[in-house]
Amino acid sequence: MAFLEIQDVRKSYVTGQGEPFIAVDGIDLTIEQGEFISLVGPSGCGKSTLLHMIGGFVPCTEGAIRVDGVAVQQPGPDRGIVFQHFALFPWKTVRGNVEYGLVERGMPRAERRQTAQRFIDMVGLSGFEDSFPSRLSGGMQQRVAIARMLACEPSILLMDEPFGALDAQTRKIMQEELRALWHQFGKTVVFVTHDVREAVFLSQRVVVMSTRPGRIKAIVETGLGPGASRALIDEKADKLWDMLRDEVVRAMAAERSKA
Amino acid sequence: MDRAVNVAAPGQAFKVPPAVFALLRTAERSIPVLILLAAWEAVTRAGMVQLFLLPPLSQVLVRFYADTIDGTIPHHIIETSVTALSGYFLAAAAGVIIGAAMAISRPIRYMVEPLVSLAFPIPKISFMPIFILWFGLDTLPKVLMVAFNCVIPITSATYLGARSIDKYILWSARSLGTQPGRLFWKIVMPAAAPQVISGLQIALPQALIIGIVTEMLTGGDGLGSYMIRAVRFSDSETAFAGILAMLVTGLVYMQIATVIRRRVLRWHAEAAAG
Amino acid sequence: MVRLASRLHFYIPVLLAFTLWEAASQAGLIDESVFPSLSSVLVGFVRLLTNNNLLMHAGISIFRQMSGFLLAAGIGIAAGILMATSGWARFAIEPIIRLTYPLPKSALIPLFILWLGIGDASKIGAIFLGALLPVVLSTYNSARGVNVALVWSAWSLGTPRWQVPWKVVLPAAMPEIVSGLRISLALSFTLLVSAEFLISQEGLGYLISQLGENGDYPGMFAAVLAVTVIGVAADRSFLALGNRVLRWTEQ
Ligand SMILES: Nc1ncnc2c1ncn2[C@@H]1O[C@H](COP(=O)(O)OP(=O)(O)O)[C@@H](O)[C@H]1O
Ligand SMILES: [Mg+2]
Repeated sequence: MAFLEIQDVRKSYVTGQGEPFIAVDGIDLTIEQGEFISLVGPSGCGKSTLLHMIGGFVPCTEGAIRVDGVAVQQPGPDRGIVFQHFALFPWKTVRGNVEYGLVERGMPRAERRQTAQRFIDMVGLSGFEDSFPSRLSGGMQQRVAIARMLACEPSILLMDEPFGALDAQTRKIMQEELRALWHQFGKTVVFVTHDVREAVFLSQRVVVMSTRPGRIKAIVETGLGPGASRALIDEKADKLWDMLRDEVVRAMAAERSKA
Repeated sequence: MDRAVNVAAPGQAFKVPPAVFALLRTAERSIPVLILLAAWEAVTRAGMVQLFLLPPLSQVLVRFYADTIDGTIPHHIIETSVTALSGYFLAAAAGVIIGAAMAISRPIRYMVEPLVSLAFPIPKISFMPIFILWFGLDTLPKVLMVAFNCVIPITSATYLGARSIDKYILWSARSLGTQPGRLFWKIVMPAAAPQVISGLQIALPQALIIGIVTEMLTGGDGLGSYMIRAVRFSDSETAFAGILAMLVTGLVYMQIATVIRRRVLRWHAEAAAG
Repeated sequence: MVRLASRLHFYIPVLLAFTLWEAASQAGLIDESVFPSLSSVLVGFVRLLTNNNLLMHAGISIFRQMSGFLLAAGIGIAAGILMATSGWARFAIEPIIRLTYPLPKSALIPLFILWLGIGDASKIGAIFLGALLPVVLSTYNSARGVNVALVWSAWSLGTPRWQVPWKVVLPAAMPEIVSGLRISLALSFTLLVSAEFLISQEGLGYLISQLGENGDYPGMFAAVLAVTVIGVAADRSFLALGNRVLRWTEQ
């Protein structure tokens, strides 16, 4: 049995005018334990929606999502999430954010401190424990969000364009660090991005989605090991982009006709 | 047995015309208000409260209607509006000028800023006896008291709006050929308009609040004295009719302010959204 | 030390205005009988302290204002958060709030005189209800605008849904709640003084009218000055408290 099963999932919304709108449709996907998989697609194709359904934040309209054979009903600490704009608790310090999930789990204070410190050190934020998020740069905030998620020891990591708001250099560093973390822990990761090179660099499989409604267009095995050369990554990324280009153009045209 | 229950399946919800949709929402929203009003009427009819504390809604409406068609309430509304709006426009003119002056000139800013920041929290109405001492019991002290209250938010909104302009907009205007001397009126003030209007919008209800209080204090005509006189005679029907008249006046003021805001700020993102 | 200096520096224009006032009085440029000089106002202030029970009146006024304001803050914040997080509360409360919000708050003063007479209760009632609506509305508006990703983060980190209103929504909405409260604080003083002018047997508003009627203008100006100082002090204390609570918003 696959670890994470997404079975014929559809999500439709009712718009403000009372009309139905299908965000994603017919999504069928199985993900193995320890796999790193990316979702790419034009904006509005339902990547976030799918991730939110796996997280249990919004229910599927049809179909089912199962983790270890158990249907997802609601959010839980077994599935950690990092949102695009970090969603740190701005009123808590770095330590307060990282400890948050541990407090909720009822971990005693001393142990909690220690655990949080381990994850703060791991993401390289030692010395910033008592800073508030508003004092940190975007890259540092993202590290806090990752530490906060990892501290709860989830078995699945859901990441929604986590590096989308970062500048190109910070982003490169964060990608390398995330890959190292993944090699270290071997957790299952579902990673949403609009950057095909990022997807190729990080993941074992890339899911390409089409828009209106969001469907799976193709699933591509990257087949790249950790030591893959830059040229090989670029080549794979270019191929993927060829596949995606039409979709993006189509999505932009649809956007224009709507406005 | 195959008479399927017609549950609107997701994605197949039938289409409701927008007008009907809006009407349904209005109906839904008025339910709690209607329940409250019905409870008011029922409780008073049943004699559960003393009538001089809370007269039945129906009697209040009758009084409101009678005093409206014989011209009493319209007269008081006009009287109050004259006081409140005179003070308000005085404050608007003064506030925009002072705020702009603060933004332009350092010495003026240095002198005026502490006064504005101190004047914000003080209960300015406590100066009313002094105003009466100086200006008598007629309309003038009321108008000035309203202006005194309204000028503070308008001044600080204008000043903050004019100061917080994005420097890249100024640089763009300069590079497009605007002379430095004309930047203020051509660029800074229009860019500050949303905040100035916010200040004007905040000040408008205050004008009404203060205008009514001054009428309660000095007598004469206007909604404030209409209501306080009723309370002095324990005429609760008229007192509640007064509240109703004030509520209507307040609603109209707010509505007008919103419409003006939309008109003036057509270029602004919030107007496009609304 | 530097901060203290710059703060004093900020108030130089105020000192300047006071100096000008005194100088103009000394020079006979303003009519002492309707505009007493600063020095005679200060003498009047001391006289109020010794002869007119200034402190008692101030205490009564502050008691009324604080009772009404704190009640409004507590209940208003709770109601606003409840409306933002519960569909039922929103359905029941929002239309009533929206309908009554435009009522000029001063209408409440005679209403509470009618209901509760001329003592403390009528002032506290008018201040409470007058300050309540703005607090509810500002809390509700900001709580409704809280980023849903914050709520979802809390869920996924193990917070039960029913704890979200005070663990996430309340702190996230705090900056706007604090600025709404500050406006209500100023309004509460306006309502207090107005109500005490109108009908009362104690309190600073009553004291001001009494002194005015007796023609003791230096005393009257001094009492107005006392109200002013209390209003400013309350606002500055509130700001200091707000800044402590909102330390995390500092850039
Ligand atoms: N709560 C919602 N109500 C209505 N439509 C929504 C809602 N959430 C998302 N959508 C719509 O669903 C589509 C997919 O959105 P999303 O999953 O955010 O796309 P992506 O993350 O791929 O950019 C978009 O067209 C969006 O407008
Ligand atoms: Mg998205």
